[in-house]
Amino acid sequence: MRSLRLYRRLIGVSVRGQLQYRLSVFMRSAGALLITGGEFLAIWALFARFGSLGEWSLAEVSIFYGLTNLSFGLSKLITTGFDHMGELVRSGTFDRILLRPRSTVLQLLGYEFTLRQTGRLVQAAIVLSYGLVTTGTEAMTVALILPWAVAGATSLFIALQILQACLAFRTIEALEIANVFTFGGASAASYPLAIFDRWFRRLFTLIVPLGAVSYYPALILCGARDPLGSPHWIGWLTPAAGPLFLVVAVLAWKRALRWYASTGS
Amino acid sequence: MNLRAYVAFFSARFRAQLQYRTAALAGIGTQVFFGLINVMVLSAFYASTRGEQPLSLSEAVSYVWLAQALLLVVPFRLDREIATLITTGNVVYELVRPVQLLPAWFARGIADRTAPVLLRALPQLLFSTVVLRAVGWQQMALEGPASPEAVMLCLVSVLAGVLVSVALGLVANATLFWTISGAGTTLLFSTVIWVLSGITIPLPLFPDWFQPVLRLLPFRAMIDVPFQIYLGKLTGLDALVEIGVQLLWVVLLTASAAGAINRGVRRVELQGG
Repeated sequence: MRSLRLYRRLIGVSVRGQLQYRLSVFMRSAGALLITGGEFLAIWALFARFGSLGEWSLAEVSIFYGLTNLSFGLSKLITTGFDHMGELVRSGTFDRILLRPRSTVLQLLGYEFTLRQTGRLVQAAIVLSYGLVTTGTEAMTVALILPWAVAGATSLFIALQILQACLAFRTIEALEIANVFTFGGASAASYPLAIFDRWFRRLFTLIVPLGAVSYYPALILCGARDPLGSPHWIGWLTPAAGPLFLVVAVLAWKRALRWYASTGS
Repeated sequence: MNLRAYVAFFSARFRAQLQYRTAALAGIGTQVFFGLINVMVLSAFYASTRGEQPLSLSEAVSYVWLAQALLLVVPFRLDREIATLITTGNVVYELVRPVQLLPAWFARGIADRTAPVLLRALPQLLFSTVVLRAVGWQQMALEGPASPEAVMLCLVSVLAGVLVSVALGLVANATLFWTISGAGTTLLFSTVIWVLSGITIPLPLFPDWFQPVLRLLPFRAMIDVPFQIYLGKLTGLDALVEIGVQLLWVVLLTASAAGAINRGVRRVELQGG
């Protein structure tokens, strides 16, 4: 409980700090909106040319895209600390974090509440709403599964970024290659997993359970049957893979902490 | 004009850029992954149509791999160091040196747009031609060029594309004389470049009604034109004309950058100290 209160204060400080530069926050959010908007424009252009993506319509793909990017954006609100891990290790700032009598995960999640991500969130929410309205999914279904699916996917993206930061203990730099699971995962899960080749689907269901947190619940959200033949109700259960993966990631983080040797600077 | 000084600017920057080999290696891994995603997405789109498209699937796949190989020809962000020089006013120190700003920055830009590409392009082309075939994914692999003549013209066109990129980057950087923070410019510039250069999706796949707009903009002159030559979509005289258009963009953009820099330098205010 006390940790939770402390966390709220950390977030509060970060938000107040950033709001000292309102215009900058606004510009950077608008920029994030623009960039992600451009990304969606490309998807729209492909639909304009090809009509559909296999059996999927633009509205359905919008649901996959919206759910995934909304969750990715939410995770990026609070993972900036892990993003800066390479820098924290190199500069020795991480030593100070270790000295404080609070968990490192808590402190890093409270490192910065990245307001400029709101641009990405707004864009994803618009795309998602367009998809839900066009496919005409029942409001009741949406109200029941959407929060659960977003929670699952957000946990998974937070977990992936914690794992990426673990690399920094070994390499000093959080390697760009780990982006294939975060950014790469987000752009792959923006499409129905069924369109990808088998090895790729396996990678993103068995090793990184991205399919579990986005593909199956999104199927329920667009009321589509799974071309891969899974039962329809499975999407109600699979978002649980997100929190489970998060627990694994935090345990891995605690183990990785033991390897930490200060750079001495 | 002291040419040797500018050659020195180029080679110093070029050698500095060649140092980031681990970054290049990690970058190659990431790019290959994104290339595979793009290829699979495009294959799925093509599977749902029987109509005639401006590019066949295998041409679109080749386009994706070429775009990944030459990714860094495209200037995704402003040159940070030049941006800092301008926004802090330290650009005046540059004015003291016995060189001109524009050619010095241009030389530096050429190094930025070539050295990282040289580090990344060959391993990636190796992956997309040899490795993908070796593991039996012919339909995902990069096809060979349309003809020997296409290779020659494509190389010339890539060089012209590099110059267009450098000039475009300079124009974007020069706007900082007026906007100071530059956050807005950077974001707008990155978005437009990201979508309209051909990196996100091959430009010929944009809707037909949008093609005339693309043709009026300089963004396709960076990598799209060389790719169309490679694929044999532009041949002979057409290819030469397009290369001419590329060079025209180089002249136009460089002239605007020069104008902006000259006017900008005159209105730089210093804050003492």
